[in-house]
Parts: sequence; structure tokens; C-alpha cells
Amino acid sequence: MKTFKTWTITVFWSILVLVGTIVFINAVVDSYGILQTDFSRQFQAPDLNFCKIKFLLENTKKFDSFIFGSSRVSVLDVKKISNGRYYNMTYAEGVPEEHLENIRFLLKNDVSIKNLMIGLDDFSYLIDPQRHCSDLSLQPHPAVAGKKLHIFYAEYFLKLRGFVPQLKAYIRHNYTKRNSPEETPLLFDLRETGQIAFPAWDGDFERNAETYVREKRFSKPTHYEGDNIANTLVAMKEIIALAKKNGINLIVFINPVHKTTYLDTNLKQFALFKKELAAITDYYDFSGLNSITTNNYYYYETSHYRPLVGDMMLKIMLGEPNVIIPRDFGFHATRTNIDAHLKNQCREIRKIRNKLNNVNAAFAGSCEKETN
Amino acid sequence: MLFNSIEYIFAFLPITLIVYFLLNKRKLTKAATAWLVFASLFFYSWWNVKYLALIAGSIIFNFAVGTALAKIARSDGTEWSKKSVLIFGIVVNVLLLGYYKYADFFIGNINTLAGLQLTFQKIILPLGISFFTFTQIAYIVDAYAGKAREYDFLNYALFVTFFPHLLAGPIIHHKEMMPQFAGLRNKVFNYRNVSPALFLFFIGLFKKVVIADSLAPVANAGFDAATSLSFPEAWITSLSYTLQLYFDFSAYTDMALATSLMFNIRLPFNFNSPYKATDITDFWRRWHMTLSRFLKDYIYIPLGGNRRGSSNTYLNLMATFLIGGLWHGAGWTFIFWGFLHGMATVIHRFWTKLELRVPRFLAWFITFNFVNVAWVFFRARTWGDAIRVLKGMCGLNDIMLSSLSAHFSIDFGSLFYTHIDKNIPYILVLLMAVAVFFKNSNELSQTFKPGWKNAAFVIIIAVYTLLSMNRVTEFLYFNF
Repeated sequence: MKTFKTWTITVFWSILVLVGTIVFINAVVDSYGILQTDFSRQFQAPDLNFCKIKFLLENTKKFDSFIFGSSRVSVLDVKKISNGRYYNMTYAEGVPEEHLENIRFLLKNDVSIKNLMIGLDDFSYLIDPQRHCSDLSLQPHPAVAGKKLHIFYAEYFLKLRGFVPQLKAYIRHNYTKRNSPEETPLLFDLRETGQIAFPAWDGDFERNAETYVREKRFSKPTHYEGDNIANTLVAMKEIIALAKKNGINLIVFINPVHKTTYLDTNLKQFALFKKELAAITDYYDFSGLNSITTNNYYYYETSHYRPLVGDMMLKIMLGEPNVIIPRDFGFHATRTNIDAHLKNQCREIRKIRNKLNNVNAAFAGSCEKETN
Repeated sequence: MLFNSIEYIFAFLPITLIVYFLLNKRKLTKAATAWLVFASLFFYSWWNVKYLALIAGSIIFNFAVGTALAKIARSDGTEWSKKSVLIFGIVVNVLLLGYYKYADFFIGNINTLAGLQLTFQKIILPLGISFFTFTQIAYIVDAYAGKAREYDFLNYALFVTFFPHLLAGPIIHHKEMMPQFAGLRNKVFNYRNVSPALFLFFIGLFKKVVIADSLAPVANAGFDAATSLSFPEAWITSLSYTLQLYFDFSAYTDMALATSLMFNIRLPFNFNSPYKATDITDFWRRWHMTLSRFLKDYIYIPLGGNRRGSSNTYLNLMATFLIGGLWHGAGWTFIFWGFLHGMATVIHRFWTKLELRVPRFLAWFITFNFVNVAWVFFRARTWGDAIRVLKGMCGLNDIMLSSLSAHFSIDFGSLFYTHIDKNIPYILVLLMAVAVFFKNSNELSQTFKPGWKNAAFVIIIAVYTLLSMNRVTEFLYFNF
């Protein structure tokens, strides 16, 4: 290459073609579903927080009721609820601060909301949602987060990281015989319900229930750490105020946390959160040690409960669908009964004090006094 | 707008280049200049359009001061009237900088000293204010001395706002820039400049995106997050920042020089492998060279330089470095950093007088470690943070040897390094070697000749870097 002109032109076009090719392939593979409208061929979890808001912006009148929460609420079957046109807004690790921004954004964009359900978890008050902004599978819609659109898309497509494995996964998923809907472990129904279904897992589970419930995965907790109680409560207060202002029927609930995860979490912190939450709103508490959370049959692993649990929760909160519910499952917590409820939960863990970690054992020793 | 942003690389720069050379090709040179000023102001406003008025006001004021100085000189006005215009000009510039950069610093100090509760102004530092203010102070001082004359406002505006140097330098002189803008040959698209410019630009982009931004989490974790640092952790923290700062700022300068070269304008060099320096004076001849030049020409020499005996020279040096420290940031840690460099320069000057010699390696070792330790004060947000890192570097937080062996034989990752690349110590050694033993990017671009090898090199680093820049981060020197 002898001349400056040849050098410049060669370098310029080579860079452009190579970068352009990789961007094009990234856009075709679209691992996080950013450009998708049909998720039936999705080979990994899309960025549901983005995809759902995008979908709702295009369909502002389709739904009037929403269930917000983490991936755990994905099995709450909106088709079984009759008091509104429900959409399940579940997205991974969804926490109240994110829900608040999304609710505000939807209201601002002509989505009318009649009913709102907010599902909370043992990590809702631990995680700083800021960390989701740098996670391609979790980050919010750029219009919600105030991010420039071209920066948002560049994050997904102008990238080399994960290029080869994601391309391989895409080819394997779309161009091998295993690609039939029945064999797809996750189904993302973004258009009608917003739910994620696990048909293959549920089928296997029912067929081999006895083996499954003894699997090692149920002894491994889903561990979270942090402290974001203050911000979470502020967000919850704002959600309550928004609901009041817009005449929205609001139901708040705490998800049934699997026993292993429940006993791994800092129960003192959890109790504090529950107490503070009761001071600002009534809510249903499905967590604690009860006949659902202590039975592996009701869970996929130590984080996600199965649809039959979701049905029971809906029955308790909304009176439908018609399913049988264990008597010890679900508690309607209010400002006046929260202390008694926490005392009960304290007694439950005291019974198994020798199985607790040090932090929770110490809490078990003192919690009855603390909840007073 | 940032040089390492998508909008800059894929839209702003190509559009600005194409329009500029098209206008020049049609002999619309005035329009081309106006276009470049417009593009530069757009580039500046991208960050915050609110501050456009500030830079515009600053340009108009300094142009007026420069013109007034020229008029006084032409009409044989008195030295006193010339000097009073100059002083007025400098005072207004310093007050502007002082208000935006130092108001809260002074309020904080007054509150502490007088036990008052004055409210902080919480002023956002306008991007590039330190740079465009210094550039214009230099201009009016040169105008006073008769070294610079500019009667065309558009040319003056271009001199100040020319976007490659606007946000973080190099700090330029009117006399070295304007002849280049005026040169007719520079108005033609020139592949002889564009190819080394592309070469330099992508080296700079690589240094920023791949190297500096990868070191940032390590330095941040050590300085901002960790409560206690072991000996290796503290050294990893300080060296990470030392290298991050070098690669970040030199990356910015590479991209600034490269962008400018695409317009056939050569900006002055700002870096010459500073970590190769074997004494502190040598370091300041290599690090942020245009700031050193400014401080020497407009502070040290006017104070008297070395013309009034040793003790005055030492005082002048100290004053210059204290001002240099304060210029970098409104905080006592910056002033102390300046003080440390001032002290080191005084000691070096004294040492040189004694004509004592030390082996070259030892000289380098002492210089580098001094610079590295001084950067701790430069980076730390508080005295406490600086002391914590320095304590760790002295091994006061743990037993040095057992910690070393534990880290090097078993695992580098403990405490805050759990989320950080375990290979970071090896990466730091490699980067040190690059900074100390290799030719720097300016040397490489100056000797650039088109060939397959450097074409392949640029293509590889460019593609890799462009596909790694999905997280855009600011340059460190934007804070100064």
C-alpha cells in the first residue's frame, strides 16, 4: 500500500464494513429482543422491562389493569381475573422504584389504569435499581430512563462482547430440529398477557414430582444483599399517592418466598421492611413459613413459584379463580395487625432456630421484643 | 459531545469535515470558517445548551479586550492604559473562572474558618471553562505584548472554539493557530494528513475505551468504595489511577490532535511519554505540556522566574505549582498535590545545583513513585481517602509480606476486588511497560508511512474499540 489515499480508503472502508457486518448480525440475532414483536423464537430472556413498555406504548388502550413485579409474578394468570383487562408487567428483578417510573410513564402516555397490583419480594428493598441500567437484560425503556435512543440501541448492537456465543445460541435455537414450541423452555406472551410460561418445566415437574422435590437446587438459596429500604418505601408511597390521585384500585402483596431463600435472607431487615410498609399501606403477605413456601412442589427452584401458587394468590386477593387454599397461606397485613403478624412469623423461625444462620438466629432470639 | 461517543464518530465529525471542505472547494472560505465555528458551538452545546451564552460572552469580552489593546498600541496610548485594560481583562476572566469553579470551595472554607453557614451555590462546572479561559488569558497577554493581533471576530471565535481543543486542550496560542487557519493549502482535503490522523485517532480511542475505562472501576473501587486496603490492593489502586489518568488524558489529546489534523491544523503536542521522565522537571516537560508552557510563560516568568536569585526562584516555582494545583480542581487535595510537585521541583533544582548524579534507573524509579504517590492526593475526594490509600501503600493496614504471599500465591481477589479482573496486576505491569518502553502515539504518528501492517493494526483496534464503546464515559480532564 503505497499512497496515503489508498491507505485511508482501505482503512476507512474496512472498518465500516466490518463494524457494519457485526452490527447487522447483532440486530438479526437480537438476543435481548429489542427489535422483536414476536417472541416465539426468542432463545434467551429478552429485556422485558423495555419490550413491555414499548409494546404498551403501541397499544395504549388494550389494557386497563397491570400486575407489576419481578419475574416471580410472571405466573399470575391474568386471564383468570375478571375485574379488568390485565397485563402482567413482570420483568426480571423488577423493584418498586422501577415500577413507579414505568407507571408514571404509562399514565403520561395515555394509558389509563383501573387496577394495579404490585408484587414485592425479599430483594425489593435490597437492590438499587441503578444497577439495572447497565444490564442489557434488565434496563428500562430509554424514554423512561432518560437515555438517548441511539445510545440505547448501540448498547445492544454496537458490541462484540458475547457475539460468538449468542450467534451460536441463535443458530442452535432456530436452525436445529429441537426448535419446536413444546421444547422451548420459556414462552414469552408479550402481546396478550405479558406472562412467561414454562410449559416444558411444568410438564416434567408433574410427571416426576417425587424426584423433583428432592433435587439439590431446592437447598440453594437465591441470595441478595443490600439496603434500599428507604428509597423503596419512598417509591411505594409515591405509587400509593399516584393511585389515589388517578382513582386506581391498588393491591400490594409480598410474594411467597421459598423457605430456603427466606431463611437465607436477613429476616430482621425483612421484618423491618414489612413493618414500615404496613405503616403506609395494607398488603397481602404470602411470605413466611407456611404450607406452600415449605413445599418444593410449588416451586421451580428457590426463587420462582409455579402457576398453581399464583392461582391461590389471586383467589386470596381477588376472589378468583376457584381453587383450594391452605389455611396458613396469605395474611392481610394492616397497620393494626402487623405486630401480631410479625410475632407469629418470629415464633415460626424460633421453632427451627438451630437451622438458622447466625444473623437470623440472633434475630430469632430477639424478634418478639423488637416487633413490639 | 465526547470524542468517544457514537454521535461524534459516526455523525458529527464526518459531517463537519465534509461540509468544511466542500465549502472551501467552492472558495467559500468565510462560510467554511463560519461553519467550523457553528459546528464547534454545536459540539459544545451538546453537553448543555445553557452554557452557550457563557462561552459566547467570554469570547466577545476577550475579543473586545484584545481589540482595545491593539487600538491603544496603534494610537500610541500610554503603557498605563494598556496595562489597566490587560489587568481588567485578566481579572474578569479569573473572576468568571473563580465563580464557576471555586465559589463553593471558598464558601466551604469561609464556613469552616468563621463558623458560618453560608449556602453553597452548587454551580455546575461548565465544560472546558478552565481551558477556554486560559487560552483567552494567553491571548490578551500576547495582545498586550504585541505578539497577537486579531481584527476578525469570526477568526477569533474559531481560534477559541475550534472543537478539537475546546473541552480539554491542548491550551493553544493565537500565533501558532491563526496562520494555519489562514493557509490556503490547509483548505484542501489532504490524505497525507488524514491517514496519520486516522492512525492517531484510533490509537487514542483504543487507549480511552479499552484501557482507561477498564482501569477506572479498579481505581474507583479502591479510592471510593473500600474501607480498608491491604498493601497490594493499595498499590493496585494507585497504579490503576496513575495509568488510567495517563491513558485517559493522552487518549483525549491523541483524538484532539488527530481530529484537528483532519482539518490540516496541527495542534501542539501535549504528551511525550511522561512516565519515562527521570526527574520532576523532565516530567513536567512531558505531561500536559501546553499547561506547563502556559504556567511558565504566564505565571512563573511574570513572577520573576529565575531572575531574582535562588530563594525567589524557589518561591516562584512553589507559587506556580500551587496555582497549577488549584487550576486542576477546587479542593485542598489539589492544592496539596501542587505543593508536592512544587516541593519536588525545588528539591530537584537544588539537587541539580549540587551536580550530584544518580543512576538513571534509580532516578526514574524515584520520579515515577513520587508522581504515583502525588496522584493519590489528586484523585482522592477527601484527605481521609488519600490517607487510607497511602496507609495501605505503606503496608500499615496489614502485615505486608503475608498479605503479599497470600495475594500472589493464592488469589489476587479479596475485599473489593471480588468483581474485578483477577489479572489486573499483570495488566498493570503490561501497561507500565507500554508507557515506559514503547514509542508514544505522537512519535508513531509523526513517522507514519502508509503500509499494510499499520493498516491492519488500525483496522483491528478500530473495529474492536468501536464495538466496545457501548458505554460512553467522560474524559477525566473534563472535570478540571
